[in-house]
Amino acid sequence: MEAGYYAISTIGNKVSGASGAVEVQMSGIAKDDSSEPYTVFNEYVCYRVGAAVGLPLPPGTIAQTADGKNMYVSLRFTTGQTSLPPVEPAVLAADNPDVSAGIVAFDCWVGNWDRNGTNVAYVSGVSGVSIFDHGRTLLRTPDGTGLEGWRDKPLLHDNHVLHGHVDDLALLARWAQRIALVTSELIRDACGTAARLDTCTVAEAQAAGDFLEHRKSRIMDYMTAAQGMLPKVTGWKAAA
Amino acid sequence: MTVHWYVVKHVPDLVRREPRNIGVILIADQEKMSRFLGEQPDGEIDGRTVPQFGNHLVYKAWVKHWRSLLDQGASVLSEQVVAGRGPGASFYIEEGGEQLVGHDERASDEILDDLYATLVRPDSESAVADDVRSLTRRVIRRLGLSRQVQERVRLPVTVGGIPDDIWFDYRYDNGVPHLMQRIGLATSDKATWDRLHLVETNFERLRRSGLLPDFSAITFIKQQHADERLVEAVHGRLAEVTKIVDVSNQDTAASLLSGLLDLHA
Repeated sequence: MEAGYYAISTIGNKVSGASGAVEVQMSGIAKDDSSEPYTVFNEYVCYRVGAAVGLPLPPGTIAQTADGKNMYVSLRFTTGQTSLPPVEPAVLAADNPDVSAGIVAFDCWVGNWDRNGTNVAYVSGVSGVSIFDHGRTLLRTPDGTGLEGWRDKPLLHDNHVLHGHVDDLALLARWAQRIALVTSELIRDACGTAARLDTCTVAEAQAAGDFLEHRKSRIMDYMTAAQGMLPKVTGWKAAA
Repeated sequence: MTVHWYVVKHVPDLVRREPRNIGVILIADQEKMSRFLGEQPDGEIDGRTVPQFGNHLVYKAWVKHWRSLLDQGASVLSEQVVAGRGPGASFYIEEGGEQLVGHDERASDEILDDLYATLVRPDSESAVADDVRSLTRRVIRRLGLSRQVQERVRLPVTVGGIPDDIWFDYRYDNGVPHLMQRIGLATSDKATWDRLHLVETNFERLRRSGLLPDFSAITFIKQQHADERLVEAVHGRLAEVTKIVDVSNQDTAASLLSGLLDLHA
């Protein structure tokens, strides 16, 4: 998410020894694994790799409650006192074709099967774009099976809020390149960190890392294979 | 007929989680209607009246979203109710209730007005606009025109070569197009005078555009308990561009409107 869309709710005392530093409190949104398994792992890893390619995800991390339970916490973005409504995809795609293409390519990469209007925020003329809710990705496969069977599937879904709105093949190709440039070290670190905090097993983290590694340089192949899911995009042969 | 309604709630403080009603959505057979805090008689949101929502453009976007859900129907609204409040969301929709209404009983818009008045309207919000609106609707209903009269009518025009959109509260075509607006005159404040000027300007701009050469202009007012200077302004200047119908007396108003709409020709 672009800087400038986060609010400080309380300003506290000055921090001694640091120049111009004060304690503050900010609002956050926290999720755990109680509703769906692997939520914390998926949210954290998607944030790390999504931020690495330059997509607008609210800053977040894994935090522990007093009784040691893991939660994924992200800053609550806002343009004031109120949250933003679900996105109007046609407006988003028209105003921000580049980010829209990036969201499609990213979701293809991480296997997001739940990109709906309520997990993209954008109000034309008011806010920047923000994407969130990445629980239904990676280890949380649609049928609950392991990642191996999903590794080479296109994973573009017809319920994707932007699938009928993106239209620029060159932008998709550019985002595919950006995804391919994400380093193995970053992917492994994100998955490993989440595993060390017991959000999943080491084997599961390894599988998620392998999944991202394998797919990152094949995004255009997957999108080309599933081009019917992107009906406004033309010129596929040139890209293939 | 069964009337279903939903209540839109605002959670100003996500920690305290004390919701407040800020809108009503109503579905009755084929009729779909809604009313939200800050909504003006023409359906626009006046951001100045809802400072508690911060950026008024965000609140307008929410209202647009709820209206879009309403257009999609009861099943989509029910899905929203089941989904509840999303993480960090400042607004959510709750099931309100349902009511069986006979065909000769209250109309849906009256029920909506009552629900809004009971569930939503803050003490600070004037009921004057409601008053003129409901009295005007009652007159229209007495003439049996509730379903024929269009509400919130938009006319895309060109005035002096420049595009413009003009909105009217009602339109009824009966040989000629009748464009109608309403205006409350109880308080001599800026909003009322602005509204009066707008009514005058809208008719004037439509005339200059030549879009509807034979249109008839009608304005509903409530003269009872009205501010004297406003009444004088209406009859002194507005009456030059529009017929005036005082809805204070329903019998007189219905008779006058019937003649203006040429219902017995």
